[in-house]
Amino acid sequence: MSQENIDRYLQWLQADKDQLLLVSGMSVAELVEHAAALGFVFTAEELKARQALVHLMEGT
Amino acid sequence: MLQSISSLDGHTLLLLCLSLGIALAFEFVNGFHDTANAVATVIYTKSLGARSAVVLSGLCNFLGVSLGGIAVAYAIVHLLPVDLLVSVNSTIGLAMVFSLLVSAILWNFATWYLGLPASSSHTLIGSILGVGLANALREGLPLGSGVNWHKAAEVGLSLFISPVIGFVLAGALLLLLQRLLKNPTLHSPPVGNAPPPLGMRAALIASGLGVSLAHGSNDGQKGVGLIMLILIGIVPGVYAINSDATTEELLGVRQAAAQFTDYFDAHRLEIEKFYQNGDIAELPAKTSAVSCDVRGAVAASEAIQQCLAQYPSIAAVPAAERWTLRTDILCLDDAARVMAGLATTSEERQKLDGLRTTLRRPTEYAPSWVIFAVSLALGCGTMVGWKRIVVTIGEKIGKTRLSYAQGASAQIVAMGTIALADGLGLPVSTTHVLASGVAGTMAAHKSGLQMRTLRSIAMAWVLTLPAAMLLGAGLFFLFAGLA
Repeated sequence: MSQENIDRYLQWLQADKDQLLLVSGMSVAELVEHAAALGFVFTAEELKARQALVHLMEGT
Repeated sequence: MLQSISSLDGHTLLLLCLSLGIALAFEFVNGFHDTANAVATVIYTKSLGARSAVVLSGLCNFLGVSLGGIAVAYAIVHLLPVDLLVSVNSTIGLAMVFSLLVSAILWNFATWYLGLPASSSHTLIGSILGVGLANALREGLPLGSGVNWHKAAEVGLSLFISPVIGFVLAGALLLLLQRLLKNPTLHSPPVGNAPPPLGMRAALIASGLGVSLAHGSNDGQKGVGLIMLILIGIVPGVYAINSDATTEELLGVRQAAAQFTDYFDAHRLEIEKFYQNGDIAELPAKTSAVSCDVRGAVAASEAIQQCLAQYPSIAAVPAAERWTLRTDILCLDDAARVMAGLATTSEERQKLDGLRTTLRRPTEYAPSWVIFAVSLALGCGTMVGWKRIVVTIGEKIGKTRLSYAQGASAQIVAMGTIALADGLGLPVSTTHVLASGVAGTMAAHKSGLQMRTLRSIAMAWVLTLPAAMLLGAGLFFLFAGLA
């Protein structure tokens, strides 16, 4: 359920702009820890794969 | 080789180590710049674990450099006009090598650091064009003579058309897969932690590794071309010409040179007419030592034959004469290129092109240690790149989805397009080919046109290319002034 958990975590963050601002400076490990503490469980590699997909789709 | 290198003075040795270090750093940066694209699909779809995917991608990049040949490497080198290539062992030549190396790596690193879309290919090609034009300006030559425009047009067309091919074919392949594969799971984004169905998983892994192999073969060669420019410029006695060329190759060069002597002798009057009509440009006298001219083709072809008649192999040619031999070969080749462009029949053009290929063979090579070093830099860069991925939480990451079939279609087409470019000896931007493939599948899937992909590709043309040209030209003026 990892990619779905990433989706839910992002939706949760986007609903609260202060939280979004808070996580913007976090490293991948800190993001994963922050998400897990809120019940959104995924690994650092899964989050990085999602970011890599953004690079791939944008041609960056 | 070691004897020649140990005989270099401290300053030249430092210059050699520094420039080799910069060229390998360029490849390393290229590797980690492109890791995300190469492994994104296989990791995202859980076809492979991150560690296995990254290690295998690094290995495939490593192998790709060796398998790709050297045609792309020399397509890059020959963007520079022959007059600059035969002056590469002078201080101006060294300024040229340094400025294109430094500008390419500075722009590549800066765009990575700032998160701007960039293409290593556009960066390197922009730097080369900038240096070529700056050299023409500095020599008081027409700007048109600063770059081998024939080659530049070929390379430009390849960079421009390859993403279009990626877009169209990946979209078409997805539509075909939608007709052939009826399992709806294959056309949906991954759900849960399960890997894709076996056949699709195999296709995703094979095509993903194929993309890495193709990336190594095309992008690795850009580094090989750069390193050969450095070696030829700094240690010409060893690297100006392939000392391992076979007896058959040497015989071929002698025969080609003999046929060129006959050809240019027979066309003497025609050549003078071409000069009078302006079909061949009379270039003003230059400040640099060497200048190639069609009128000098007979002298060059005779010099090649005389030199090769004296020695049984290139290894036996004294170091001091190797540079002259290379210069004669390149000048004769350039004269033949001019004549092929003016040839009235396709038979004549084909004959000249065939002879040129044979003639150039000992000058277009790369020692195995160069290929190994570039492979290592690119492979290591790929492996490090995954660790360096920075996650930027925002709207984009939340909206990104890719089905198994879309990923496989984009990868299969990218792998094929890059391999085709390798075969034709043309550089392409692997990032652009892959991204436009994904965009093609999005359009075919009726998910809309990826404007961000189009913007990234456009940025490489309107930002990276001119910026790298300006940076390359500026650094060339600086280094040439210091020399």
